[in-house]
Parts: sequence; C-alpha cells; structure tokens
Amino acid sequence: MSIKTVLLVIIVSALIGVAIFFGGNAINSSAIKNASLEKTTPALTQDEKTIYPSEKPFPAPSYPGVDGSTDLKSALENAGVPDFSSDYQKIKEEINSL
Amino acid sequence: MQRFFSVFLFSLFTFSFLLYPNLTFSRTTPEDIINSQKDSYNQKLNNYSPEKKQKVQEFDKKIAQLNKKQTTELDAYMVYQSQILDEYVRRNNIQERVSDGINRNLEDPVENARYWLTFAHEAVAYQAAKIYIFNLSGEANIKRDIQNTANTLQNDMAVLKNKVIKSEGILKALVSKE
Repeated sequence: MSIKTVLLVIIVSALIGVAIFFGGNAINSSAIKNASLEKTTPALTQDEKTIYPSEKPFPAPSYPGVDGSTDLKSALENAGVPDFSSDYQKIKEEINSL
Repeated sequence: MQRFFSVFLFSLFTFSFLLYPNLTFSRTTPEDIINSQKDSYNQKLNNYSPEKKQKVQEFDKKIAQLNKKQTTELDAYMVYQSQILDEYVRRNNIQERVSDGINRNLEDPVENARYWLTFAHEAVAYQAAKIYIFNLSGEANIKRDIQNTANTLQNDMAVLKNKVIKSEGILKALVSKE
C-alpha cells in the first residue's frame, strides 16, 4: 500500500467521521426542537375530531349528588367502579366476525 | 508507519460510531417512539388490500374510542370520589395540611386517601393519553393483530381499574369511620 493510498483513506474516513458526527447532531437538534411535553400527546387529527366532535363525547355516568345529607359510604358503594366487560365482549365479537 | 495508520484509522472509526448512537438514543422521546411506530404501521398498511386496510382503520378508531369512553367514565368516578372526600373533610371540620409536594404523611388517614385518590386520577389521565398502534404482521393475520391490541387495552384497563379500586377502598375505610 503506497503512502498516497493511505493518505487518501485517512482523508476519506475523516470526512465520513465528520459527516456522521455533524449528521448525528443535526438529527438530534431537530428531534429536540420538535419534542415538547405537549407534543407527547399528539393533537387530534381531522379524522379523530370527527369521532370525538366535542371534548366530552360520552355522557358521564350520573352518580347521586353528595349534598351533605347522603350517607357517604352508601354513596360510594352505590356508584362503584364502572364495569367494562360488555365493551370487550362486544369488540371481541366484532373482531371474531372479521 | 503502516501500523500507526491502521491504529489511527481504527480510532477514527470507533470514535465516530461510538458518538452517534450515544447522541441518538439518549435523546429519544416518547413522541419519537410513537412516530416511528406510526411510520412503520402506515408503511405496512399501504401494502394491504383496500378492503383489509379499511377494516384495520375501522378497528384502529374503535380501540381509540373504547379507551376514550372508558377513561372518561373512570375520570368521572375519580371526580366523584374526590367530592366524597371533600364532603367528609367538610362534615368533620378537618383542616387538611397544605402539601409542599415533597413531604407527605400517609399516617394521616385523610392525607393518605387524598394521596391515593390523586395517584389513581393521574393514572386515568395517563391512560387517556395512550395511543394504541397495531403491530401489523401481515394481511392474513389482521384478526390476530387487532385481537392483540384489544387484549393490550383490556390489560392496561385492568391495571388502571385496580388503582381506582385501591383508592376507593381507602376512601371507603375512611368514610366508614364517620
């Protein structure tokens, strides 16, 4: 291997090294610019807005009011944690019918 | 001389390739992960037949809708729990300590209930912000791929419900003392 070839290889690899280094920095700078806490939760697309026309598309379940006269323990027991089993039953039936 | 150049070249390459992954991976954000998953999903979906593509997109919306519906209901229930706790505090003339966000006294039953209530409520908000992207493995497997995502949602929701139930249990024990 001649000295000329070796020098050429050094210059080319140095250029590659510099390109990778600055390329990496450039990629990360743009990633930092684009990344913000708000963007972690992407805004609704036009398509999603059609599905969720308002902020609260699903009516919240109505629980007995805590008006100062209600027994708090019974109020809590009457409400209870929502049960979603029928939702999954329904979607699984739909998936099975594919 | 040649040995020197070989060592120099090796060092140069090692330096370059060591720097690059460090810079990239240390700054990967959740948004980057979601975007990369979405890109992969869209690329795969574009190769599907129009009929299958439409089916996948329909279920994509349904899963998002299901998550939205269920977290909305759980959110309403958490608000209800906090109303009950507020009412308990009001009825018993309890002066709640203003938390500095650092120190907490979970020996205090009201502060304990407030802590777990906030914990569960924040978990509901986190779940509401989750985005489910199908991991598409092939047009012939869409049923299985959709089923897997539905199962993931169901499991996530079961974990979330346990947090809500824990908060409910602590609150119930507190108001039972009334």
